[in-house]
Amino acid sequence: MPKILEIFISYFKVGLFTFGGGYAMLPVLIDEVVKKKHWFKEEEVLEGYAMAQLSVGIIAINTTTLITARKFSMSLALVAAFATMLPSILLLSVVGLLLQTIAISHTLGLIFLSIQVGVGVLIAYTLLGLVSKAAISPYGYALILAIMILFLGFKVSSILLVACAIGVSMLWGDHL
Amino acid sequence: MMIELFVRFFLIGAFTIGGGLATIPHLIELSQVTGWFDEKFLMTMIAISESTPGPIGINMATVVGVKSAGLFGGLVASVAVSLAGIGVMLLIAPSLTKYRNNILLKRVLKGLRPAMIGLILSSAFILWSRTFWDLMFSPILLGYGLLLIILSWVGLEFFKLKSFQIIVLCALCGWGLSFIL
Repeated sequence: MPKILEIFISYFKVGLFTFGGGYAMLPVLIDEVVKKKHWFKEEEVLEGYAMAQLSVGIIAINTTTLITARKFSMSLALVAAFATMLPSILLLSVVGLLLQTIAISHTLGLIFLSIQVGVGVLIAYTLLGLVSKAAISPYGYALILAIMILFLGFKVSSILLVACAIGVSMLWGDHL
Repeated sequence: MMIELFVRFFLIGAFTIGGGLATIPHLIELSQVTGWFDEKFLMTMIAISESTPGPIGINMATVVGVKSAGLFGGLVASVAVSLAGIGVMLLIAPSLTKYRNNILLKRVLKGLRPAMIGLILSSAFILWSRTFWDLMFSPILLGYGLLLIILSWVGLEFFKLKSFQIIVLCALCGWGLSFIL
């Protein structure tokens, strides 16, 4: 079994060199824990990732927790989870502090506004991909509309809506 | 404050399925309920989280945590948002294959897709109306905005640019515009 420090350093590296989260993490993760360290077989990582995606939570953290818990131990899995998120926490804390201290100048205002437009396009583009792949039934579209009216019009909590959607899916998920 | 931050982010993590984008509706709600940040900040934060290394969900939680509760808040929010997922993973790890083909799980996942699409669509509507409100400031700005939308779309569709490349491209355009306006 690998030492705690070894686990920590490897997953820290995975967190640090993953750009874009989720799917983008896979090649980095496989390079480190399969090819370099030989802790897992590639199938084990892929299977862990497939399962991690289906759960609640952050996919990258779920993946490292799951594969480490299956192969080694729960305590090492917790170390793995924390090590994967630590680079983000350190880096983004600094960014967060910077964001608070800088004054928004004319130039910076235009840069941020342009970035807003870009992010809007990114979200719209991803959404379009989701809708075109999802094969949604007419009931599903009715659910989309209902959720939008409740969230936008009646300000119903998004957490409550997800909870209700889970309940509805347990009963009629096959028809949506 | 720290306890509220922890509980709110724990709940966000516990009701996020599908990563990244799926947290945005919850973050919009968080901004409306707590007033810790506004939608403009949210857009900047999404951009930063997509263009820095690490899981996007953790990146967003850290920035919001720091903004709402100071340096230590970033750590608290990030741990809280991952906790539910970590718990589920530790629970299913011993008998993973049993859950793989579970009929109830499949049904829930199929039903959740339209729900998530509805929520993300609503979020996109809120964020876009905010952006257009800012662009309405002048006709030149509005024209520039429309041009930037087309440019970003072309970059994604035809040049297969990555998210962070789009964001850097937009930032550069904004910088260029500041010499004209």
